[in-house]
Amino acid sequence: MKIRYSHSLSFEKADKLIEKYYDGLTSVAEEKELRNFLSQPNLPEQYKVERDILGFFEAKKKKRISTVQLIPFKRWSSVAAVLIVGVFCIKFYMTAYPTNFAYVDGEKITDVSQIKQNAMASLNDLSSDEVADGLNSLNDSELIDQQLSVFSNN
Amino acid sequence: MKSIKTYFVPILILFLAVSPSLYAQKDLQINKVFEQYGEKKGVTMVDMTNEMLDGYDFSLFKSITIKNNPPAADFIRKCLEKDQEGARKVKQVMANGVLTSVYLQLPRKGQLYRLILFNQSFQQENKITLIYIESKNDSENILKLILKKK
Repeated sequence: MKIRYSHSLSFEKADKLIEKYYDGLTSVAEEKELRNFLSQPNLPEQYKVERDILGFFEAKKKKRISTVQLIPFKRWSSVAAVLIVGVFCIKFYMTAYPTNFAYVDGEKITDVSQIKQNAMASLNDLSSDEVADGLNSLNDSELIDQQLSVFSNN
Repeated sequence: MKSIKTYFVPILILFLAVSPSLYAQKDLQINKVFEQYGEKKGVTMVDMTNEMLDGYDFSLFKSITIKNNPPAADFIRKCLEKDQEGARKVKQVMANGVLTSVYLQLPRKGQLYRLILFNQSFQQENKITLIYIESKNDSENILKLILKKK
């Protein structure tokens, strides 16, 4: 029974290239050709050593490529982490230490009870009878009826 | 130079996206009123963040009370005219053709309801009150609470 291999290089040519490779006389193109040959499956056992040698170089090369790809990911993830921590710190600071102040006649007040007192005073100004009546009257259906009745009387 | 661009641009974008609530009132014209009149004589200005005030839970409460200053009132009315454009709901009181009271419910910014309240009183003295509120509570409920105090 004959086993057929569909290799790009003949074994004879491959052997010659391997010999040339050990002598350090192969060109880049030849090394590539050899590497392609050795990367094929179902190669005879005699090429195991060369496969290991060139396979090692391949693995090393791949490793280098993956490291290059990892650098931006690491950088971005660290930037994202710093940003998340920063935003949380700002939010925490804003919530934990509210910046409350008031100005009365140009004088700054930082006493919370006094600030609240002034805030309440301004709210009371708004909830005066004058405002409330005005706002309520806008919802008053009687007023609308009254205004419409002017037209119906004519 | 490249690293500055790489870091600075995303940081800027993220900060602008994440913290719009910190600057929610900055886009409003009435912000100029607080800046311009806040520290003057005859004026009381209050600025509170994340405080409970007599049952109201406000993320931001800003108020300004100005006494006997008709030009300030005109300036506020002009600012309100512009801020009114983006407002969702408007209730107002006019006296002799002049705006004396208005309640503006502004579009929500993120989770925050925003409210502008303005009143000019002529009863004892010419007194202008302008309030800006940001709250996670519905602004309709806040107004009801304020009017209930009457």
